[in-house]
Amino acid sequence: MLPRCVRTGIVALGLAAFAAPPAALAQEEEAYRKALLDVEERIVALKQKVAPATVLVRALVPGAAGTPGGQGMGTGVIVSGDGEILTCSHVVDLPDAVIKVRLSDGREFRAKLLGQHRPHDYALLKIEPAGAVGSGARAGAFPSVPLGRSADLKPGDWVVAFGHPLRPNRDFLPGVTPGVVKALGQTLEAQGMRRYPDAIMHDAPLFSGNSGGPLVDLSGRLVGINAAITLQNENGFSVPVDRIRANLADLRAGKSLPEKPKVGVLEGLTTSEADEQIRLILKLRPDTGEIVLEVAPGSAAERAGLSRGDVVVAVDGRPLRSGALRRTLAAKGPGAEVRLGIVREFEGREIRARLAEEEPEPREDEGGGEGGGR
Amino acid sequence: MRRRGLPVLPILLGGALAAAPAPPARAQERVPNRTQLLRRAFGDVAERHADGVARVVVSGDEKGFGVLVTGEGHVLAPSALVPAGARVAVAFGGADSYPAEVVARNEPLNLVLLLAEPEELVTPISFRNPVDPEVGRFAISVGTGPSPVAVGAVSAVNRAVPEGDKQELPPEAMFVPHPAQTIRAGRRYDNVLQHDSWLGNTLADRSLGAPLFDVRGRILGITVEVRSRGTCYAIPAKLVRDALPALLAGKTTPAVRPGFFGVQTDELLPEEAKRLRIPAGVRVSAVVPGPGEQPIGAAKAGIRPGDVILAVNGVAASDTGTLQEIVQSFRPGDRVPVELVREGGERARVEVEVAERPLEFGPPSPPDSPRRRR
Repeated sequence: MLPRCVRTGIVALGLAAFAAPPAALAQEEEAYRKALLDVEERIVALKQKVAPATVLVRALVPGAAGTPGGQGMGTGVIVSGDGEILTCSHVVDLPDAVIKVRLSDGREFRAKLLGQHRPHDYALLKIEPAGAVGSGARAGAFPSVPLGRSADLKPGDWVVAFGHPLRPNRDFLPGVTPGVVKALGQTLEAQGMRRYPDAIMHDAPLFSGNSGGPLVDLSGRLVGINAAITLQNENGFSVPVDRIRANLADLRAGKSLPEKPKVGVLEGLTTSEADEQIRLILKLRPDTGEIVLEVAPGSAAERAGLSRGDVVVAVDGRPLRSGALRRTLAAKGPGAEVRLGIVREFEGREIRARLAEEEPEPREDEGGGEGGGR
Repeated sequence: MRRRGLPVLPILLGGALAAAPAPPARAQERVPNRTQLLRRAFGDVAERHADGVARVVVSGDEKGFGVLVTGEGHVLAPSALVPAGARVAVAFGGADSYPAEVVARNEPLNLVLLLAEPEELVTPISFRNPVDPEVGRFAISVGTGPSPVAVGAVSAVNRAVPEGDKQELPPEAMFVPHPAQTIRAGRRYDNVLQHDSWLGNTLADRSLGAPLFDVRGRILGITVEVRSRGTCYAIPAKLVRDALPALLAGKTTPAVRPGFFGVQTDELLPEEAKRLRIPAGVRVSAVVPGPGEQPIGAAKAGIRPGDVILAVNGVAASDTGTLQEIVQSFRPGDRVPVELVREGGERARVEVEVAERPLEFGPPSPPDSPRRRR
């Protein structure tokens, strides 16, 4: 048995060795340690500003009389003094939901969904000051987190997630989980229709209930909205704030994004893919050409001068792959004038046509609010 | 027999190991293996305290860590690790393990005090001067080795965890299910410190029973439960300090069954609250009978479906989660006043005798699910 005094002596020796590192590597290690201690102080400092602006978000769905309702629960972050809140679309996108937000100071308010981007999973709420729940809840200027720039992030940067994983704390203070950025611009296909085209991948621990919460940099600026995790490893994914900022005006205006993209179409034209025989006869390149089967009388296609039997081989000077005509014209957009290269009776010629806007197809999702194509 | 003779050696070794991979990693600007960096950066904390950490061996298997709390060989470990009647032993830095006996348990804290007689004893870990853990600061789990078993951050303090609280699968944004994803239903805690580590599911398991320190090596608590994704619950050092005298005196504190009202409840929508002229409340959707269909708890006190619970023992039941916490904070047999609004709008005050959660009920469902029993 070693006497205690001897053991403390050894411990002291160990510390001395650490303070005076024998090698450059140990110095590097000591530098990293100092950097970490600085990171810790900055986390504690930014917590004082970000935690008060972090809210518990609940989307309550009333049940029919006598039956239970449902609710979505997540986190949000106040981004303006008048109570605008960013969160995830998947937290609040429930039909007929009543949205309630709760600050860590105990105030609870109703909030209105201003606009959202369902596939990219972000939403803008606004606190309704008149919607204070419970007595004593009063709106004043709300604590808010300034928007930062996600473009300035680099892999290795520290970030901090705030939120209410699993359940709110009894004092409604958000949980604080730091981590580092592992990669940027990560494309992620999530369940359902969601897609994160350029997510921030980081290892700040997230769980159910963190959704919609802020991811901030070490200066306490919002760089992302926490949205998804992979269970296979420790990765969390956040929607970059730059993407949201670019659409803030639309969200404020109550738009549901994305608006249906406008699609160009040449009215009255029916085609099918050219087959090998036709390509052989007309000496077309492999896999190109569409043969006109039908041109509706009085249609734009007829006015442009197309007729049955023409073979479309190019659009705006580029060879047309078989089967790609509709898609190619759609992408040109309504109102565009296109040059169609056609072969008629073994002779090549070019005709011009103006595209119309394609009739919107009925939406299959229940969403509503953006039905029209205009 | 302890291998702590040369405390400088691990640091040098760590540096030597780092020499090879570090330069190419920097050249490619890849994120360094932070796990390794962190463990090395806080190696001094492990160096200082690893002597006071034991491995707990139950029926021949190492199940987790324990903390040496006296110079006589008393070791504190998670009570759940050591089933009643199990053969238990403790091992320190060396390979030898020493049979141990159970002195006492504190079930509400999930702690068991073991007594072993190792050949040599080292400095125990003192709980005399616990610090208040601060959210956002780093938390270092120390095992028997020269570098920490886990490094994370304090994510929440003073957290209440209901019995059987599950880690539900994350929201629909989650997209890669993991086969090893376990949903662990754990114990109920009144006050735990939550810390999250970045070391991943398997590695975080290693911090079970380990003492937790801040960056200055001050004791924060003992980790008694590890959930999936590295979420750990630790008993705060202050509570450990307060519990130690009774444990050392051989006094066991039994588990307390959480209180049970026997009601199913729903959130009250703001409109309904306004109509009833109350700030907030929780609607009773059903009452649950006890064994043999005998009315218990709420039903016995005359609470009926449709009633709205305003407050329990003077504490506002502002939502179902709050009500759950209030109810679970009482013990079976307690008599608590409950304020109600009946369907007709008249107020009522009844006294509910808190029942014991029937075992066939299983663990309570998590608070964010639509329907709950409590």
